[in-house]
Amino acid sequence: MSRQEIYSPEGLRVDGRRWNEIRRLSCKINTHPISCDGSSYLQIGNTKVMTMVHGPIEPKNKSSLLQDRAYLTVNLNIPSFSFFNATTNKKLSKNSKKILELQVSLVNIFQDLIILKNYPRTQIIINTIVLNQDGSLISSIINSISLALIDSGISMYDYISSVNCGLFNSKFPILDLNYLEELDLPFLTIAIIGKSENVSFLLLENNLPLDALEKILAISISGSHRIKDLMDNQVKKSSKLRIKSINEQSIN
Amino acid sequence: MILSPAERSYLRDSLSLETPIRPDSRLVGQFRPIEAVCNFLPNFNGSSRVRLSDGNECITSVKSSVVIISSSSRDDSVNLIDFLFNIPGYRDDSNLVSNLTLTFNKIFNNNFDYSSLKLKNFKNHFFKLSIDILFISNSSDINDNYVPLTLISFSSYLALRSTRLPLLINDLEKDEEDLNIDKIKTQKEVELPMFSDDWSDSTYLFPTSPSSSTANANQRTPPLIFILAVIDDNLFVDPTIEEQYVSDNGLIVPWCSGNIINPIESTKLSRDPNSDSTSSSTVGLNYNHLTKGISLVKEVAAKVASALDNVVNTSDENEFLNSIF
Repeated sequence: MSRQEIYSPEGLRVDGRRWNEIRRLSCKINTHPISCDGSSYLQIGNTKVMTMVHGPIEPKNKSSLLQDRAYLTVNLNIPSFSFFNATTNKKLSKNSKKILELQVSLVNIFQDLIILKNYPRTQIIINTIVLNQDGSLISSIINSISLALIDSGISMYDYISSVNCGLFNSKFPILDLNYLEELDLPFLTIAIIGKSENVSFLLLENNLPLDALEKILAISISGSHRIKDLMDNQVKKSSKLRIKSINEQSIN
Repeated sequence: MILSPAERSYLRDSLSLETPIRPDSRLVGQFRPIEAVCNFLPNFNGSSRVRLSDGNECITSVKSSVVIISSSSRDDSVNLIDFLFNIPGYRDDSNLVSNLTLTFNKIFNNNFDYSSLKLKNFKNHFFKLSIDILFISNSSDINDNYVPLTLISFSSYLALRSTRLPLLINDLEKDEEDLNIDKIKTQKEVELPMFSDDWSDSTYLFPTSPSSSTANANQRTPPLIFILAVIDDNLFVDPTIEEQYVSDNGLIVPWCSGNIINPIESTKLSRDPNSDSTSSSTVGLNYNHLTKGISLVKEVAAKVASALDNVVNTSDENEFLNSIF
């Protein structure tokens, strides 16, 4: 795809969005009430991620027991069918370097976010399954884990919300890239804590001109805040529903 | 899960009665409720997700690709359906995964009508279906013996049922000119298949007749696999994990388009974690078990199939929501 089509002179992108618009985000918490302690499903555009949190539970083996805080494990499961142009059964190895690296970064992000000292001698297991990929994979995973942790009731300092942002023609920042745009543009993924401007994670795998960084950061931060609001709305909505159903039960 | 001796004998006794009582008060041929959706993955020809009330769930996707099989090499070694299992916590070369892959590949490839996968007017071009199955279990209960085969089979049935194949466009005009058959044939050898871009033109791999009733036994369906637990003289469909632990033996009965198909296999469901493997109490099957099992499956399978077909038919309407929740 040529660069012209990525961002038209009229300021429209491949899927008809403007430069600062995110795709339709829908999320749900408590999707797996039986199988785990906290769960979430997040869908942004065609990217679909499902997260299940188990814990705090007693560690399965002694090596994952810490005396002063909880031990955090993140399992990332990206099945072959999730890929954008999956044609045949080509399996991404579970131990591929990319996934291992991503798991380590996710543990690092959430280690600082969860108040681990409240849960000494326990383990918190986060299982994430990617159902469909269409760009902004890492940020969707972070958002989904954040929601699942909130659902599980594990104490956290604040939401963490993430978004990615690319740069077109070394000039125009473009928010929330889809798969086609990710192929062509240099982009970074950023994760912001709450409504602050504290960056807890930043991933840049391509080259970006340094003078564009400030612009990109500014738009990413406001994008993250927008996503945080959307997630917060959903959490409040489902909490209200749950309180309502509990009240109804107690009346009956 | 470990059952105490008292629990074991209570369960066993109530299940081996002449009119057996199952712990969840189900009938012998009754299934647990499932929650099912299909066609929610936009990048695939067909997809489905089936969830059981105990939290186990199975997500299946079907992707088609065109392969060329020269007529000389077309024999049993060519499989047009390829299963790939993905069970978190299990390696790809583990017993569980390889057993499942083998069972499904065998049953589906033996009983699949390959002519429906053949590209019309092409000699050696076929659709190859890659079926990916992701099984998510909430507990550590699954092991080599306890496999929720029924759930996986439901899910793959639904996924195949919802599978749509794109419309071939380069043979449309040539259908009319049947005169120079030889000439067309030679053209077709070199020609590449072209498909319509419009997804609404696509056709179902398993076309549903408008009056899809259980009586219509001639309708082609994907295979369904039923697992039966054998306890004394009784057989049970869709056994829970507790029922499997007290069972004598297990029976895998595949079914397709109204008929029982081969291979019917026996499998050991009860690996009691308390006892070691040497003191295993597996009892063999007798003739009665087989006939009983086959008639039981025949009785329930058509109902199951029509219930699953309903899921496919209803989820077409909200296809564009594309969400599983």
